[in-house]
Amino acid sequence: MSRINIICVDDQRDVLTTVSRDLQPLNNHIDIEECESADETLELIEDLDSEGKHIAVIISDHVMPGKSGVELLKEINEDNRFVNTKKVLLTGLATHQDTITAINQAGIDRYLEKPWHAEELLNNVKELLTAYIMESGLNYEKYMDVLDQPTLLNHLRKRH
Amino acid sequence: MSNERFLRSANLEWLKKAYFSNEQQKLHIKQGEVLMKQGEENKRLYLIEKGALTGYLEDETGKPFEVFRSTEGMFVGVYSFFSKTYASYATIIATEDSDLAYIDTSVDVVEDEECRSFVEHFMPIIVNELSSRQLLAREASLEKERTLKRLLHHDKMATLGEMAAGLAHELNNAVGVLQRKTEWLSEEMAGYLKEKDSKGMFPFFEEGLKHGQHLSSREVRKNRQKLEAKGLPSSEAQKIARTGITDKDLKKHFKNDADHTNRMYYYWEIGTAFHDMLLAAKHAVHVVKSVKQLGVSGAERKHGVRISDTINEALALLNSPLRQVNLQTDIEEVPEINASSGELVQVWVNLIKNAIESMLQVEGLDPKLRIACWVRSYKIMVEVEDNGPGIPQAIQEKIYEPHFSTKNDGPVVGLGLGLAIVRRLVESYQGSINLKSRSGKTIFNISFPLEKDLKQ
Repeated sequence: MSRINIICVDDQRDVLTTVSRDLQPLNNHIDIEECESADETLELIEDLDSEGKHIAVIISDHVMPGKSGVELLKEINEDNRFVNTKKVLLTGLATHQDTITAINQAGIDRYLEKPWHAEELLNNVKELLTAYIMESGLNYEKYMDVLDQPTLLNHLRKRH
Repeated sequence: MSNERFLRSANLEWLKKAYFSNEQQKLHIKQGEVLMKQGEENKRLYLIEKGALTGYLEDETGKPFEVFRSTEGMFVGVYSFFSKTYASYATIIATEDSDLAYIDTSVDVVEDEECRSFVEHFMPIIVNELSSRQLLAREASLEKERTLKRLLHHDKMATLGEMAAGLAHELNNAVGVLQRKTEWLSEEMAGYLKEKDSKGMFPFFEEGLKHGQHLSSREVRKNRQKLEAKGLPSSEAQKIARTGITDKDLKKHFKNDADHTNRMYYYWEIGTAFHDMLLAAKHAVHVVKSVKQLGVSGAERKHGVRISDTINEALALLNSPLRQVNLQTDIEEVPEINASSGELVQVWVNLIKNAIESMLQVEGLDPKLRIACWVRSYKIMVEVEDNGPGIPQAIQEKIYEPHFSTKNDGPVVGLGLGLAIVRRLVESYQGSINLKSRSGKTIFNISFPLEKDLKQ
């Protein structure tokens, strides 16, 4: 069974490790990857994809050297291989224009503001993870511990 | 009267001699003496032979304000004399000891060879007076407009500065508490863990506290893959990989025991948490300090300010936007000068922000920012160089004008208050600012004179 991955992206290492630390409750079922730049993320998703692994959620900062978070998410949004992948922008610094681009062109699923609450972040990621698993037709029973129940029920109702 | 005849009548020298030579009609007035009062009778037209007079009007509260100044060769009393109201419209006071000559209403026309009338003789004076008063009024209203603008601008800046200072003050206490308590807690925790540790784990806490996670996400991934290849379960491999523990230490600690790995990682993670907290608190304290200096209103200038320090303050303030560019600094330690560090930080923040913003406009550019500071021939030089699109020749002078902007996506709320302020501040230090710009290379060069006592 191929593993499901969640990728966190932030160029500030202390912030990055804090984000991934907040997602540790998912760790038994999900692999949490960390990347310090957009380019590193693009390389990583190539590797993961070639190994047949799932990329359920990408949580990215916006202001970073090189490619910005919105540019990264836009690129992933345009890639057919990742249509089900959920995209979260986690930032305190996006301008009005960036936000418009993020919604219209990068098709982000959530916009979370820094500083964030661990519980809020975790709940949002759980909802998105659940949606990804259901939309990709994976066997959800294996992941019951980390799924968001209302989202799961919603999807099951739709199925019947 | 034909135009030609009128022009010839404009012989002021002749007129002054013909009408104002009567020794009986001369007057000496001392500095501060009142020649005539607003609204009171005046039947004389005065020529100032020497000295100067000033005219005042009273405002609604009875306070005098200046309306005109007349000097040698000019006339006063023109309005009351020629309008036939014979009432002075202003109060006229001698600005210095003055010699006057006058005519009164009983004056007879002085005949000339062309038999011109009295009005013909004096027409140039009346027109001249009218036009000079109009000029004065125009000048005054322009000045008023300028003053108003300056005041408004100053007000806006002062408010921003005060807000920044207020904010910084509030944050200062909060951040200070966080910093101190974090320090205290990390020391307590060290003591507690050391006491509790029975399995030789304490060094991992110390390592984490000292260095944090010093491996990049890429290095951690590589490490983890190596460990996984050795047969370690993924979650344990990830933990060990993060700590950056060396192969040698690994052999000592690696017991293929999940409990052992978890405990080791636990100690290390607590250490890195304190490491990050202390670093973050330190950074916050630094930023608050910089903002506080920026907000210093009235900008008190003190001795002992080092320009190189103020540049570093500005860089700390701009930590976030600076992450988007490659920064190169050649900052030498320069002699101290008499300055307000808040003002100087403002100068650098403005220049650096502009540079970053202009570079980020260019798609696909590898943005490079260079900041240099050095001393040369009794001057402190600072250069801010970027590889952005450059400033077109046509607007290079305009950029210093208040409210001039090349940014079109709405008002930029932030610390940047424009190059107008930069120039005003730099010039207030007898410094100068120069711009060299072409596409791909823009350099702002600022120089400050070193103080005299340092010139030997």
